[in-house]
Amino acid sequence: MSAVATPSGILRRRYGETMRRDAWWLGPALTVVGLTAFVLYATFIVLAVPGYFEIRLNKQDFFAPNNPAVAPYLAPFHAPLLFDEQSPHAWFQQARPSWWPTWLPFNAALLILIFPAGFRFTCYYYRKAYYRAFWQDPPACAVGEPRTSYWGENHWPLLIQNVHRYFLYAAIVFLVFLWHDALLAFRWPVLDQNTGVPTGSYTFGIGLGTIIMLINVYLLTSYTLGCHSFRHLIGGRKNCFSCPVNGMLKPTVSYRLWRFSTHLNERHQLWAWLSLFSVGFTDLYIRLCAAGIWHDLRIW
Amino acid sequence: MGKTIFRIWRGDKTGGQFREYQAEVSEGMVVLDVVHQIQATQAPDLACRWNCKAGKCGSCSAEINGQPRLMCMTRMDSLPPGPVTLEPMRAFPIIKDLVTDVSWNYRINKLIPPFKPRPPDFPDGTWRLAQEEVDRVQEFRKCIECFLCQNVCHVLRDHQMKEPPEIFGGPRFMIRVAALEMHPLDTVDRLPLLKDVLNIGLCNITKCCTEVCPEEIHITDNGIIPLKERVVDAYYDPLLWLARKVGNLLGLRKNKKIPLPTLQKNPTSEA
Repeated sequence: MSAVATPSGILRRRYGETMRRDAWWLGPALTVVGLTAFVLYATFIVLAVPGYFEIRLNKQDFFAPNNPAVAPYLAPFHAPLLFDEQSPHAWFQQARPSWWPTWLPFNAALLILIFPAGFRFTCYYYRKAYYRAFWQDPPACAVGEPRTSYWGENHWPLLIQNVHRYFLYAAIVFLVFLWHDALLAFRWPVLDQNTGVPTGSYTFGIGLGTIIMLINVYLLTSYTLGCHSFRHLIGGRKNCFSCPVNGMLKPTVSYRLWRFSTHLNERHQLWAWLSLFSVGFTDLYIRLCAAGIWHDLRIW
Repeated sequence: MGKTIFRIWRGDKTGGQFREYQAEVSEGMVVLDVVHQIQATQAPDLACRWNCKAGKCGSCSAEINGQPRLMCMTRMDSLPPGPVTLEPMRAFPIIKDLVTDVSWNYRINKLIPPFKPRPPDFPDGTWRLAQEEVDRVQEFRKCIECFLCQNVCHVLRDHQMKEPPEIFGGPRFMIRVAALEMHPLDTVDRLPLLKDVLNIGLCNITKCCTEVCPEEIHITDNGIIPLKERVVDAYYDPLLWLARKVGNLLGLRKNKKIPLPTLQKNPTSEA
């Protein structure tokens, strides 16, 4: 075996050096694959797919005039939909905001994706995941690192991670919109039997997409409400959940909320991955149905 | 189970090397049993710190096949087949063989102001606490000070941030601060200490401390991250900063700054 000699004992390990015999590299490798795939998909949608966020009558030309939506779904990467000329989901019935430069291609997802992306980027779980997998600081527990210098989150630029709670506030607002969209996915437009054009009235209905959207928003809710910042803000910040008031010890509402959030927080990593997968899959499902590649199954 | 090869690091602060020993392993043995067997039959000068052999004293911390663990709580039948490597904790200076000098931790401990309760709630000099308050801080009180979390923390292990100008207190002392700071009776504000002396911001929450804790304390999720959030409340949240400023202007808040302690010089270090 190799001998080492240093004034303080054992030498600092080189990059990747370890005595571990288990597959310590597997976790970081899977993280790289999962996060890279998601980022590539999101980038592709933002840069190359301005439309196909809902299922319209003419599947060949999404932005064709008088091309109404024939299903109530909205792809989550475009939710909330701020600008579109003809979507019933759009807040403003115009193609793009007036201040948007004409030379710059517009995609409504560009206006909103910074919020969920920022929420996940500053999330305590994802920080662990990408510090380990991408920055290799450390690659795994008790495995040598590539750099000797270290600033942690004590200095710029990573000091910005402390802004996480503000992205949480945005994520909670987004959850409201996503629940609204998921519930609207039960409200189907009634189509003319001959032409397939919406008649203007609506009926209750369930498609496979409705169930997928509902599962997606459930997973996103479990991820968001188990957030460490949420857990802190709703009760964890207190030193005393039930300090005696008039001599009575009674658990408060904030204690019950904190317990609920703690319950979700214990599986925060699981919720993070499940919701990441579900939001990507829900988006892909609706876009492929919108492009006519997949066909939505109408259950009810 | 038969014979097993042990590669044990032998040396002191001037250097050392791995040496191989062959040990007879029988059912139910833990790594510490094998070390004792090697001490008794092959290497009487092998240095090893131990005490309770029950996972409660925190003395026999070492690195077994590269994983920081307690030797007394690692059963031989839980290890994969093949030679077993045994090293001292790498984050701390070697004294001899498997024994390291962990006194730096005690210097850090002295920086933390002790528990100071509020005045009693009742005339008989007592307080009343609900069980849920006790549960939260009780988890942190399970710590046996084995320092495995300090050893595996890459800020201390790889970056050796143990001396000024920028030290990191390490997970064990974040947990100690959490036990005091979240205690419903305590009155001391340790957030300035956490931010500027123990430098909680140096933790990048990679959770290795939680993974190695033999007491299964959720060091990161229940201790360090909630403390980080409290530091955000006090120093980084712009809305709360504004609220404090307004509170100060209206005289609703009393600002009482206390001097921060500094890490004392190691009495055993050379000048």
